[in-house]
Formats: sequence, C-alpha cells, structure tokens
Amino acid sequence: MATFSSFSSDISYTGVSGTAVGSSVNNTDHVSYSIKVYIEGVQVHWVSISISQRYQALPTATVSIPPSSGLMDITRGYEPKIHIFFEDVNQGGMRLLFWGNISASSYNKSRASGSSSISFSCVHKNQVLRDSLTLDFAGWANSTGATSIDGTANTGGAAPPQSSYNSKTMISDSLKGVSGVSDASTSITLDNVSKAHDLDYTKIDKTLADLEPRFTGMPGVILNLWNQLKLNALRNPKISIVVLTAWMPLLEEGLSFFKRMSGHPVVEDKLTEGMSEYCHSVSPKESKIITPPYFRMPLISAVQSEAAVTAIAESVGFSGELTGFLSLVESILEVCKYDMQTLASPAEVATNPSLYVGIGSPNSKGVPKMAVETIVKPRVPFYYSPVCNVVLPRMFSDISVQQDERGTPTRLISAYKIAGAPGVDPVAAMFKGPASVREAVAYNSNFVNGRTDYEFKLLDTLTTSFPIMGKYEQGRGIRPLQMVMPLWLSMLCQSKGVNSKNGPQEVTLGKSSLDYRTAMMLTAAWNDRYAIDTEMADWKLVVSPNKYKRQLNPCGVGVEVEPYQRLLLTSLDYEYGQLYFESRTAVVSGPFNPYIIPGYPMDVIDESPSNPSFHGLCTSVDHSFTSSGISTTIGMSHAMTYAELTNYYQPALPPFLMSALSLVNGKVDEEYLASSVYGNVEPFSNVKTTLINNPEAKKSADLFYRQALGVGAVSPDQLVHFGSGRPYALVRDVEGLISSVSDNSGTPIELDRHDANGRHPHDYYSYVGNLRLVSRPIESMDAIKVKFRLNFIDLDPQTYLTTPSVYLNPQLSSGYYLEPGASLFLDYMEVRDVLSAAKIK
Amino acid sequence: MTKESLDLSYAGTPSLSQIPVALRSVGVMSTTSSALECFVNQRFSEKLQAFMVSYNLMAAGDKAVYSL
Repeated sequence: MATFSSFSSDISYTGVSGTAVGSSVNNTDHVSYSIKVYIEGVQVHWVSISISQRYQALPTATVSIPPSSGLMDITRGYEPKIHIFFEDVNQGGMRLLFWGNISASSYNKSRASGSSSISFSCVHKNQVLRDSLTLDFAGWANSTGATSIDGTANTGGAAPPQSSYNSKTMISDSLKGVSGVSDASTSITLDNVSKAHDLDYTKIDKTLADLEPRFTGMPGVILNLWNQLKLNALRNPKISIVVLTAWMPLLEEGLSFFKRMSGHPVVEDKLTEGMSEYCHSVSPKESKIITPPYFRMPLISAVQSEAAVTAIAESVGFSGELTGFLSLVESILEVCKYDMQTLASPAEVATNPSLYVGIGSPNSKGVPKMAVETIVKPRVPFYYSPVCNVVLPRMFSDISVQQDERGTPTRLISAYKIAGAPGVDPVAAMFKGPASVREAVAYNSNFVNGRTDYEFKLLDTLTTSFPIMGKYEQGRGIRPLQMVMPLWLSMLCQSKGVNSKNGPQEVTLGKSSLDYRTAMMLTAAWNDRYAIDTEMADWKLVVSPNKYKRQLNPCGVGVEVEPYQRLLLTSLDYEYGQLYFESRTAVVSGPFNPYIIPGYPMDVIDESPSNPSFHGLCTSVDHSFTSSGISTTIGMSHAMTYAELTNYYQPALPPFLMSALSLVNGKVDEEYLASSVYGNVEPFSNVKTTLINNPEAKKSADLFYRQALGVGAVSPDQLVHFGSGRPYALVRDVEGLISSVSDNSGTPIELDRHDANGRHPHDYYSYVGNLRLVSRPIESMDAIKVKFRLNFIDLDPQTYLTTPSVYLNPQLSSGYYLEPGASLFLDYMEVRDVLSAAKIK
Repeated sequence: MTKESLDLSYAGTPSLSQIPVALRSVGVMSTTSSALECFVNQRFSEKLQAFMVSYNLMAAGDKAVYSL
C-alpha cells in the first residue's frame, strides 16, 4: 500500500564538493563544459537547454530531449522534477544551474524537415508555493473585528487564515519578527496540538536553530507570518488538514524554503536592534516591531512604526480572494521596498554568517555550509556590485545600450489634502522633488512675499502655486510627472495634520546616540550637496556654501517640517532618482557565465578607455545551451557610464540604509560635539556619500555580500582608473575579494598577456581567467544528495549495458483504468489512510 | 516481476520498462512511488524512474542516434 511518512532535510553540508582549480592553470580559453540534465533523478541526453532568470520572478527553463512515445505522458497528473548541473572548473565539482518541475510539454514532428522533438517547459521548484499553497482571505481585510471561517466560502480548498485577527493585527504581529528558538514542547507542530493556544509564533522552530542569525529583520517577519498561519491551523486541526498534512511538510522540508533562505544580516541586525514601539489596536499591550528601512529616519518615532503597519495592511488589501503564500509575502515586501530574489544557482555559504568559506579558504573543510536559494533583500539599485556581477572585458562579446530621455521627467509632484482645524476645509499641499525644484519654489515664495533670500522655509515649497523653473530645468524646460504616492502616505497626511489629535511626532535625540549622529551625518551630507551656491561662467566654477538653504533639508535637524512630510519628501526624492536613471538599458551577451545574479547591481568593463564602461542593475540572465554553443545574455537597467559615476551624485538610498550600510560616514569631533548646540553640524566633517573613494562603505558592502552570496563587493574605482579611463588588471584573494594591480600612485600596471607557450599567465586576460576572478561558490550536486537524501542516476555505460530486467507496472498492465487527474507513475492512498497517517486528533 | 510471454518490443512505455540489473542492485533508484511522498516530501517516483531508465536504453539503442 502507498504510504506517507515524515521527512526532514538537512540545512548544512560539511563536505567538500570538489577541488578548486588553481589560477592560471587553464588559460588557453579552450573550454568544454559538462552539462547534465536529470529528470526525476535520471540523467537524460539533451538537445537544447535555456534557463531564464528575472529580477523579481522565479527562474524558468526549457529543455529539449530526444522524443519518444510516452514522454508526453509524464506530465499528466504530476510535475516531474528536473535538475540541471554544470561542471564548475573554478570551484570544482558539479554545481546546480536549475532545480524545478516540468509543467508543460510540446511535441513536434515534421516530415519535410525530417525532424522531431519534444521539449519541456519547467518552473522553479518554489513555484508551487505560488500556484498551489493558496490561502482563503474572505473577510480578512475587515478591520473592525474578527473574521469568521465559513467552510462554504472556501471553494478552492485553500487554507483559512487567522480566525480571530484582522489584517492589520496580523501584519503588526508579523513585524515583531522572530527571536529565540522553540524546543520540542513549544514548537508549532502536530505533537503540540493540545497546547496550540499557548504556542509562540515569534519563536524560530528548532529545526531552523542553526539559522537563527539569518532570521533577524525582514526574513524574520516572513517566518513569523508563516508561524501565524501554522498556529491557526493547529488551533483548528480538523478543518486545516491540507495545511497540516501537505503545506507544512512541503514548504518546511520538501522544498526546505526557510532552510534555504537568508537576508543580509549586516542590515537586518540593525533593523532588529532599532525596533520601535507600536500600540496594538486590538490588544492594549504595547509591543516592539521592526520598522522597514523605507519608513525609517532618525527624527521620527511612533509615526514611523504606524506608517509601516498601515502601509502594509492597506496596500496588501486582500478581500475575499484566494492568494498564494508567496504572493502574500511578495506584496508585503513590495510595500517595504524589499525583494525576494530566488537564485537558480543557490550560493553555498557558511551557515554561520560571521564565517567565510570560498575558493582556497583554509577553513572550508568541515565547516557547515548552507545553500542560499531565496534572498530577502532591501532594494539597493545604486550600490556596489557583488564580485560575481562584474562582467570583465573577456566575458562579453556584444553589448547594446539604449537610452531614451524623452520620458524622463524633470520634477515629480504629489498632491494631497491635509486635514486642518475643525470646521476648516482641508488644505491642498503639493510635494515636489527633486531638491533643486523645491529650492526654486522657495525662492519664488520669498519673492512674492517680500522676504529676503535668507528666510527659506521648507513648508513654503508645499504650496500649489509658484510655477518656476528649477535650476536644472533651465536646459530642458519643465517636464512634470504627477505621482500617486502610496495610499498609506496619503492616509498619514490626513491623520497627521497639524491640528489633528495625532500631531507632530518629532523626537529629540540624545546627542550621544547613534540616531543623532546618523541624523547629523545625513544633514551634513545634504548641506554639502545642496546648501551651496554655484557660479558657472565660461570655464570657471565657484562653489560657496549657503547656510540659509539648510532650512530646505527634509532630513535637517531643527528644520520646520512635520515628520510625515519628511518621509514623503525623501520618498519623492528616492523615486525621482530611480526614474532619472531608468532611461538607459543594456543587453550584454557573451560566453557562459553561471555566476551573475539578477536583482543586484552589476558592472560591465571595457578594456579600452575609448569605449564606455557601465554600472547598473542586473535585471535578467538567460543561459542557452545547444550543440553549437553555450552563451549567456544579461539584461541591465538604470545604467550609468563610468564617466557619470565620477561626475554625478548617485541617487540616495532611504536614510536608514545610507546609515546601516555606512554609505554616509565621516569624521566626528567628539569634544566639539559634546559642547555644541543640538542640531549643530559643525562637529561633523569629511562626510562621504558616494560609492567611489569610500572605504568604510566598501567594507560594509563586502560584509553585505559575503554573508549571502559568498563573495565580496567591488567598488568602481577598483575596476577602472578614473584619471585615465583605463581598467585595472585584477587579482583575487582567498577571502572572495578582488584587488587592483597598480603602482603606488594608483596608476594601472599592465601585466604580461602571454607567456612563452602562448597561455595567459594572468586571469585578467582570458575568458577562463575572468570567470575565475568573479566566481562564487554555488550549491553542489554532492550537497543536494546529502541534504535531501536523493540519488542521481548517471548515464554510465558500466551500469546501463548490463542485462536488463523487466519491470511491469501492475496498475497499467491490468484491466484497471485510471481517473483523469491521476498520474501513470504515482501510487495513491485512500483518503482515510491519509487521515490515519496524519494522526490528527 | 518478469513474464516470459512479454513482448519486449513495447518496452519503454509507461506500463513496461527495462531496467539494467546493475541499477537495481546498487540501490540508487527511489523506493517509493507514493503520490504524497513524491509531492509533499519531494521524493523521486520509482515508477517514473523506471520509465526514464528504459527511455535511455531505447534512446541509446541499436537504432538510436545517441550513445551512452
């Protein structure tokens, strides 16, 4: 009889998957890749393979194999598993390129061309969390009280959500994240169903104990949400059969979704450290919740946590519809400006994020290594690239860049009605960005009201009148774009009006606090950038500070502006930065590159200073394998030339990320700070905010990437000498970092390109060597076999050419007919046996 | 299970597969075809593995283009 028993995968693998190849061993650029495809664990011949990875989407693949009768039938009633591996000549061993399920097939035969083929369309293994793990949210968005579970409304067989909470409560509870590990008596499992009402959803399950450091911040929010759903099922076991018997074991063990997840702990730890108070609308108990970076700045307190909860709850907005668990999570992350990026080739990193294992690392053997398949990450489009996302000169053959500036606005406008005093009509306010436009409006306001130039007021820029060109609109005219800011910001505007009961929520920070230093650094950086007058004439440029413009700083300590207005203005400036650089996109194609990851910044370096190099965001990676070649095509957006990197400020990230990633840093005169007046920026000097020549930010970026991807970061000034435009030759060290080859003055040194045998002695001058420089550790076949207890059957002549035995499928060879929906290759249990095996009481 | 009267020319279909003895003996094949095991626990289906092995034998057979 078919049976069903519990299964548990391992998080870590301690073996060594292969020996890394030494540098300069095969630098002839003659490569022959070994690519293996396994269907249901059985290696098959393949005709062609294409693997597609997109930013903010799950990977997909298409595989063509020689056709045969019966092959199309394997996709009926079942989605066979497919694994694609490649031999990694840099890290050693067979490494994963794609793990998924066959979801569709097509068969073609043509007599005219004498060809026939069968191809399988494949989705990533986690797609089932989107398609099948559905939740029924009938009445969930009802904020006035409890929802009821109506079994007749649950037509899709989906899992019911929390029965006693509304949507806002579920979200505010999930923002508590997770901390501490449950034990056998407190874990949210069937064994503890009798104690279900006492179990704590803020605890990490004991099976994930080794990953506790990786579930700080936003990854913990997702785990908390899952725990809430499990707990609800446990409290109503007899009407939550599918959750208890299928979704829980599938997500937690079969797919090992959380065992293969990570955030970037260097940022997420700081989110957890800075949790803020939130007053629960249902229970009077105040609790501390995580405020995602997008809603945070040092000067506002309770309003930021309420903004976060309101934003997520209102924007997710489910009401009587079925939704997949992944879709729910993605909706929450979207509001927080976070991504959940799934890697087709998961990164193999030390389970403990404070350790590093990589090529040549002496500590790698015996160190537990996990696979990072799903990364929960803040959006950082204008940031350092990870080493694996650098496309060096010999890694691409073609590049095509498109730039269309017609659609680029010169200003963004968001208009809102602000609640006024009782009996008074709401006042319309128009928030404008970027800063240069607000400055022009402030000048106009002074002009109209007869004030002198040194009476700038940020609040004056919120008026609806004074159409005047901003400084940088003098060359293009005014091209406005009306933006509809998120609903939650609009609601915040209405509830936080000056005369409302929820008045200003500004805080006065302690001068010794980290928040105060952060606020002052941001203020100083803003002043250096915007509180200046420039005199441009002929070939002369004179820059002089204008301290009166400091009153226009939305992050400025002491600037007269409501806290919610600070949030809105910085959001607008962030959006403007995104839109401005969005106009340039690129497609880069070249030989096979298994290491590059969409969703993170990337660089494309041209060897000649006469041709531009680019820094942008990797949005897509497509691999193609056929009998005539293996290639990779990469899509890039928000592309900036390296010339622009030296001539323009980068768009700012949200203030919290600027600080958490040390992107804003400088010198502090401690004595002066102690004696200075609150809000005085003078103690803060040499403030840096750019990517280039910012060693403190680069150091933080190294940690940011190493913890999740197993390689460090690259600064643009490590790749190109900006003085001459020449690229640097590079070498790689054992810590996953690369460094430039230069003399003491920083000028690039040209290395020998060929040795006496015609080989390239240095990695920088060959395709194979370039790949070695940027390679990252990818999850291996050996690791998957051990962690999931799977066996892969190779096309080994020694095995296949032995005498065959005959296997007759008893169901198919007898007179028994299958029902539509059944697979030819599966054994089914009677439902009573499933219930019995589940042991639900 | 083996029957002498089986027409092995139909081997390679879902109902009838040929599996090399060596594969059976080394224990690399899956030991379950339970639907729940294959879906929830993400195990390989033994029956589908048998079919795919048989497919490989046919694809690499005397009249096939591919070789092992």
